[in-house]
Amino acid sequence: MKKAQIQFMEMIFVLLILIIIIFIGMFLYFSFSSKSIQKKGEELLDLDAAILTDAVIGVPEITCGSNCVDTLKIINFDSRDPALGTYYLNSYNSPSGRFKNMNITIRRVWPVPVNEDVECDLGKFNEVGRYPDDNCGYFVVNKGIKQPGQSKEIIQNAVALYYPTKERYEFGLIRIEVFK
Amino acid sequence: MKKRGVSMFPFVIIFVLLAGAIILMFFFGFAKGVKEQGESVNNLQIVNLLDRELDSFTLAENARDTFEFPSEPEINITCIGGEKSRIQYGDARRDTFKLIAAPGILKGKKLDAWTLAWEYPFKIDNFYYLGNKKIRFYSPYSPPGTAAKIDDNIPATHFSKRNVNQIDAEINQVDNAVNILYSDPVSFNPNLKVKTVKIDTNTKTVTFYKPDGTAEGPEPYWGLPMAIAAIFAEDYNEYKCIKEIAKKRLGRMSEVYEKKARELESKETDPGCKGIYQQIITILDIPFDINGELDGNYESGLIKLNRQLIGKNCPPLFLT
Repeated sequence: MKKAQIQFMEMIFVLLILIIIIFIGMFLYFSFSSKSIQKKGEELLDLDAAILTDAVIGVPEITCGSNCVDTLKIINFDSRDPALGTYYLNSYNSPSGRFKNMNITIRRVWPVPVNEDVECDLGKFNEVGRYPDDNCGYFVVNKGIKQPGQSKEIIQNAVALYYPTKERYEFGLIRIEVFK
Repeated sequence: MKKRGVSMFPFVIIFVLLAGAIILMFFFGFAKGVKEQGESVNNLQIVNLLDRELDSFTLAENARDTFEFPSEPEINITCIGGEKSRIQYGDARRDTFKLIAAPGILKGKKLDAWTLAWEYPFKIDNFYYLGNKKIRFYSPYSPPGTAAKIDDNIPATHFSKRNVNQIDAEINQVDNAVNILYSDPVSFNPNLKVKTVKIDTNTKTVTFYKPDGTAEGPEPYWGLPMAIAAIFAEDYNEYKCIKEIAKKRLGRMSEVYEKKARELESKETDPGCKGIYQQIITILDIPFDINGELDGNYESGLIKLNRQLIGKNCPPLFLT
């Protein structure tokens, strides 16, 4: 092989290496920027804590006014009721499910409940004379399911609990766990 | 014959040009992709921002706000099949069950939003109204009562108490004009930007008039917030679509309060109160007639019965 041919081959080789390096660099840059855009997109879906609490407490199916929830409505509320379709539970880009990816519970705080680890449901409501003072401690608004790899953010806020049958108010704590 | 050496220079030039062209093409394609993705994220950011701002209105009875966007987007609000509302900007969109009334495409850096709680008679949901300075509302005369209340709920910055025929000079400066009438005769402005809506507060109906005078309707409205939605809605079909979503919400909330009434009735010992709860259950059980319209006694009947419960010291169905 002549010297000129060797030089030519060398140059092609160097240029090829250069192109490969550029392509690898571009690939890495693109994957990083793509991840960063994806992260930004996820951040956009995050709800501000205050807005989120208001949005949950303000749902007409459970609310009884500003920062107040009607316990009788909560007991009768089932976010998984097939009649509701996906109103509360659908995912992003289908109509915004108000409770999507959320665990929402409301604890009775004051007066201090006797059975604080027992859920207040329709069964407990029907225990005449015992509800809610002696038989339950918290209400479940929605049960979200945490998927593998999802992180959890917890938001808590004070809320008034209204008992229509007794026409009285209690002090409670709403706990919203958002899975992201 | 003398052997001649082959010059490599032209080959090197061709090779470099080809390689350069390939690299440049790749760079241009890459830059274009990044730009498109950036725009897409930006559009999504604006759509989300608007939806989130509307979320912050959830607890409000009556609130107004002006949102400012980083760019000057063209936001399109449409009602889809009586099922949901769609907020769209470019390729980004967000579907929501919110009751949003807006006169078509909203272009501008600033967007004005209002909300009114729809209490009929208990809270069903919120109606959201969107507009900007390029949308104006005209009402020459509003009789006292509901009509005056409707006019009062339209911000003064977007409202003129003038006849539609006196607004020609202003029309070129706006994107949409809404002529609100509460009685006959209906006066038109043939300009395509002008929509005329007649609100009959006696029959509780709205009629839409196209610029050529063609009437669409009358269509009943259920409460003042829905009448205002008719004013903001792009046209008759859009109003009907929003009303269909509202109807589903009303049906759903009727079920919620019916269940509540049944529980209250089951725990009640006073026969007088029991009777009232039973009447409430009857109204809430079948709120719509065979034509899909709301029973005329729905709101007034529930208010009356709830007052009776309060009067008898029984737990009320809803708090006022």
